[in-house]
Amino acid sequence: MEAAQQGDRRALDALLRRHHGRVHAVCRRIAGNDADAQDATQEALLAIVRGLPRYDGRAAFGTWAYRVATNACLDELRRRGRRPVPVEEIVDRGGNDRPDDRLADRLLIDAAMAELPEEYRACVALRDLCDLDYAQIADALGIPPGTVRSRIARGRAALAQQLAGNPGATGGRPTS
Amino acid sequence: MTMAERPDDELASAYLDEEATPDERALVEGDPVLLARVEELRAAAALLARSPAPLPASIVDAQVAAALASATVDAAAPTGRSELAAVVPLRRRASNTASWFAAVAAVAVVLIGFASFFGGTDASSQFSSVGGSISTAGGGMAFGGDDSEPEALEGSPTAPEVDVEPSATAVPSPAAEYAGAFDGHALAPMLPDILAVDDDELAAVVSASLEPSGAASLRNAAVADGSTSTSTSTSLAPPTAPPALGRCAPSTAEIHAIAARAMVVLYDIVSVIPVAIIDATVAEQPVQVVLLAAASDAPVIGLLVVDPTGCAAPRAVQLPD
Repeated sequence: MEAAQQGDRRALDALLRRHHGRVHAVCRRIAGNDADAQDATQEALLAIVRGLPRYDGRAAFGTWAYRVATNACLDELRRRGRRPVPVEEIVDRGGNDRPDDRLADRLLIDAAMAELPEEYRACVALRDLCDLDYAQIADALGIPPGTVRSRIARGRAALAQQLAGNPGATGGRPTS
Repeated sequence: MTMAERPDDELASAYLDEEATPDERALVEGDPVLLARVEELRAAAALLARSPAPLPASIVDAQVAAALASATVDAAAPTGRSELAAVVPLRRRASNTASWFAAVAAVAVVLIGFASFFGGTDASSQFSSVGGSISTAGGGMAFGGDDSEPEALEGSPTAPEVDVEPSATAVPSPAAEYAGAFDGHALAPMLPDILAVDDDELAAVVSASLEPSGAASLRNAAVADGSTSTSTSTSLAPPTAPPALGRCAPSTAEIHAIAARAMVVLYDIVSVIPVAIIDATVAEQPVQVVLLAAASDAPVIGLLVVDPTGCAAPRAVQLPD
C-alpha cells in the first residue's frame, strides 16, 4: 500500500488488480447492466488512483476503496442519467457472461435491484458484496445508519419477492 | 414501502446482519414469523453476495492501465515533456469516403506532422513531400512500447522516410481477440493516394500537431474545438498531484491507457479498442499509430501517434463524425 502511494507502479498495479473484481461487482450491482458497470468501474479505478494520496490508513484499504468506487460509480451514473436497463436488454447482452454464471439469478437480482434507486442498491452492494457494516456504509455514503438499515432491508425484500415468484431460479439458495 | 417490503423487514434484515439491538434480537427470536422472514432475507442476501461475472482479462488489463496512466498524466517526465496526449481535432475530412479510409488519411497526416515534430520543420512544406508506404504490424495488431527509459529524441531535420517493410517485431497485443477485425496490411495499397492528399485544413492540423503538448490538456484542446461532446467528460487532470511515477517512454499498457483517456475526453467513451496498430518509420524515428474505435466492428474514431522509444508526447487525433 505504501509503495503504491509513493508511486511504485508495480505496487499500484497489483493493488488495483487485487480490488478490481470487487469494485466491478459493486459497480455492476449499482449500475444494473454490464455496459454501464464497465464504464463505472473504469471511473472507480481512476477515482481510487486519484484519491490514493489522500488515503490515510485509518480504514482498511478495501473499505476505503469500495467507498471511493461506490461514489465514483454513483457519480458516473448520475452524470449519464442512466436508469436500470430493462430485463429484456439484459438478456440480450448476456453474451459476456461466463458459462457458469447463472443467468436466471442475474436476472432476478437485476430485476429486484431495478426497483430501487441507485443509492439503495449501493447500500445493498456494500453490505452483501463488500461485507461492510452499517456504520461503514453510512460513512461511505454520508447517510445515517438508520437509512442504511432501511435501504438494505428494502433491497433484500425486493429480491426475496423475486425469489418467491421464482422458487427454482437459483440452486444456491440456502435452506436454513 | 414497496409491495415486497413488510413492516418488520428492517428488523429482520438488521437481525440478519447482527445490527439489531438486544431488545430487537429478543423480539425476533421470540417470533416464528419474523424468524421465517429472516431466512427469506438470508436467501436474498446470499444471492446478492454472489459476485457478478467478472470482466474479461483484456478489459481488466485496459482498465488498470488507464488508471495507472491517470497517475502519470501530470507527472513530470525526465525531459520535462508532458506525457499527456495532445489532441488534434479534425473537424472535416478531406473526402467523404469510408470512415476508416479517413482514418488512414489522418494517419498519414499525423505521421507527417510527427515527422515534422521530430525534425522541427514546417509541416505544410512537408505535406506533399512524403512518399513511400507504411509498414503494418501483423494482423494490424501490435503494441511495441517497452518500459525502458531511453534517451529523449533529438530533433532531426531530415525529410521523413517511411519504411515499406512489414514490422518484424510485431507482437500480439492484449487485444489480439480483435485482430481479425482490422487488417493493417490492407492499408498499404491505399497509402499513395492518401499521401497525395492536399487539404489546407489538414495541413493546418498538422501544424497544430507540432505545438508542444505541454500543459494543454485533452479537455482544453477539445473545448477549443467547440466540441460539445466534451462537456461532461472527465477531466484528465487529477485534483491533486499524483505520486510521481515519471518515466520517459510509455509502456505498452500506457499507450493503450493514454489512448483510452483521450477517447474519454473526446467522445465520452471509456472502452475504446485499438483496432490496428501501424508501425512506421518517419524521419528515421519509429512511430506507432494506433487506430481507435469503440468496438471491434465500429468505425475508427480516433488515432494515437506514439513515439515508442522516446519522450515525445503521444498525440491523439479526433476524427470527425
